[in-house]
Amino acid sequence: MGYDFFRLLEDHPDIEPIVYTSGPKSLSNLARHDVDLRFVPTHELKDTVLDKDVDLVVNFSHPFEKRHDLTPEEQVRQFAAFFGRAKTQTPSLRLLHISTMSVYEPFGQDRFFAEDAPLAPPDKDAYATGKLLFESLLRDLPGASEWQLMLRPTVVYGPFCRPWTDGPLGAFHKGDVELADLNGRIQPIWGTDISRFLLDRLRSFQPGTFNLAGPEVMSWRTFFDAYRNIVNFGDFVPVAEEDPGPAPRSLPWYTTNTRSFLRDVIKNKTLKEMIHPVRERSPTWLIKGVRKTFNTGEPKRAPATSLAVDNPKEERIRSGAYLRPFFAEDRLVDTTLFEKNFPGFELTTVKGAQPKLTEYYRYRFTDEPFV
Amino acid sequence: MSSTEWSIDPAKSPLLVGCGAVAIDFHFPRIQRLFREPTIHFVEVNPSRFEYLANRWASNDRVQVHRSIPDGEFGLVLVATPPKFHRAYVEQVVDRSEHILIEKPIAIRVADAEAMITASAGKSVKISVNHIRRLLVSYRIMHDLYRTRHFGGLQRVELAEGGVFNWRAVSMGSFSKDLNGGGVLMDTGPHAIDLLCQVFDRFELKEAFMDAWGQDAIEANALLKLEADDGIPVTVNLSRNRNLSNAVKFYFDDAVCTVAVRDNPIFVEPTKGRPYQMYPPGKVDIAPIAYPEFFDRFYAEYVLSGTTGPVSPQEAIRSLRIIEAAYEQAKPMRKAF
Repeated sequence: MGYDFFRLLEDHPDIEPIVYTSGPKSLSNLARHDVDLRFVPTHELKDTVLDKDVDLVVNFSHPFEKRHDLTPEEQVRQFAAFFGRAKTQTPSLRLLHISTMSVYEPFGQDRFFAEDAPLAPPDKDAYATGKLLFESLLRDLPGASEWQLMLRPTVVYGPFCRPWTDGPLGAFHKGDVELADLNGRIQPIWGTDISRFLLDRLRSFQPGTFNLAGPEVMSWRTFFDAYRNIVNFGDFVPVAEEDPGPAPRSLPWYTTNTRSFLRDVIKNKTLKEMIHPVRERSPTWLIKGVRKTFNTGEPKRAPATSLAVDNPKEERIRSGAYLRPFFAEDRLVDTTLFEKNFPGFELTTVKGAQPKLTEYYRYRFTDEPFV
Repeated sequence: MSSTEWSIDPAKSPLLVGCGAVAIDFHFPRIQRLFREPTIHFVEVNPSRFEYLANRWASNDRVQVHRSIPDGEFGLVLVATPPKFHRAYVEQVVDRSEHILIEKPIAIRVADAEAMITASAGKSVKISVNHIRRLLVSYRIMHDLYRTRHFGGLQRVELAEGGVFNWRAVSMGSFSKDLNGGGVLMDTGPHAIDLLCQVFDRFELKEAFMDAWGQDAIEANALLKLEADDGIPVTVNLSRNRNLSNAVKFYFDDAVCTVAVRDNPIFVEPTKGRPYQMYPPGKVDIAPIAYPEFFDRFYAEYVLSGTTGPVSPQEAIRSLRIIEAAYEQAKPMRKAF
């Protein structure tokens, strides 16, 4: 999202961006431009002072992992404190903070969550709880309601979006996608629409908290179909219902478990060395029989016509990335407040984004030159 | 330099100059295993990084961290700083080390690489460059197939190597034009072009394109159009933000041979007949060679024993010449993404 926004700013020379980053990992795109880039490792944030002439901060970042012995929660607290210090130093400072609709977890079928919904994501959902903590800490800063704009985008897709664009494009590019239940509904939002909205707010700031959703309600299946059609290689493959196995404590159950136990024993390295002399003297039929019984044959080799390279169009690799119950559940937000405050803001449909996504697929996943 | 000349004594102390991710994560574990007795010395000039490492190894009496090159002589010196500083450190240790292993690229400029060669001339020190993909025998096989016209004449070659950048760098070196000399072409370019250097004797750069759109910008994509030997068109397509096929395709009269950039088998598609794979002799592993395993084997075959023959600076300069010319001549790519 951040890079897309930066690209949009290139057409507006009156806006001078400064980029703060805590690590080089995501800089491949940004480093292609002349940009005022400041490297601030997370553990140095507490000593960092924002430039006094900064008018507005757009925060795309969120710490997801431990860095320099700081937990994500500790990093979030340092971030919030950083913004608080910045505001004290520059009273005219404003903040645009990109949060997420995940703060509404757990969602419910056919429910559209408005901005004033009670927020209580489950403790085990580290992403949602982390994002909510960040929102809460920012809101606790003095006068927050006057200088902070918080956005809760839905499912964001577009170029360089890892989970909801690179993920499905890559899965269909490599092969088939296992299909369970993709009937959960979403309101996917095109990343550039978020960038345009942010640009509008730079010009005309408005504090508050707003859901930011795409113009359509559609199932995950419909959404992923768009990528399947772009790639035109892999397909959806229904997943057979899992065999529950034999009933516990039945004879087949004991047989299966004993076989599994012995299989593990036979693989033991020390045992292998001990029985090696016996094996050398054993007839082939016996060795094959043991292998067949315990399924300890030689590992399968790839077929002769396959090639272990990153883009083997002849070989289809099956993805099980979208089998979770997550994709069977609705994740919907109410857009009334957004529409009331920002009437006429145009949003892109998935079909409308298709040409750009198609070009992006060729860029991201093929060797086609783009000179 | 022949393989018989490069032979490290594991009883003599090694020195690692530059404590970035490659030195700590890849070289140090292998050096620790290979050099069991002597003290392992590190040099780190960045103050905060020095403090971090000094604390990390405070209780390890085999490791010493220095702010500058310590006194003494060394069996092996690894130079793993940003390429900008390679020459300066090599010139500092050339009289005090038996072997110097320089991380790729050997330098940012050909002149600096030539200066290192000059500095070591007439001295007993042996210098090698860490082109670990020399482990891949597939490109030596392609050289033979090309020279013997096994599949007829070679019409063209296309190399495409790219993946989303995910290196666990600890500094901005990878994105600093000043420290690193450039972006993807200076990063994976030395590895990729060195593969082609094993096949061809001569290259001429015809055209280059990069997506560096500013004075101090560094490219995430580089496209080079070369001519090899007697005019064979060669395209080199490198990327840090595109998932390219990571393979080299050799288009012969009678077959197309595809070789992965980090793998050994050669996939052959004849113009007539069924496709098949060619494997090098010996133990065959058809899985792509993971980076850690590359380093293990490189240390075993090149660094410690020199069995396979290390990569000399003169050899490493071949790829650097192409890279330097590309940066000088590059035209900007269109801003697609």
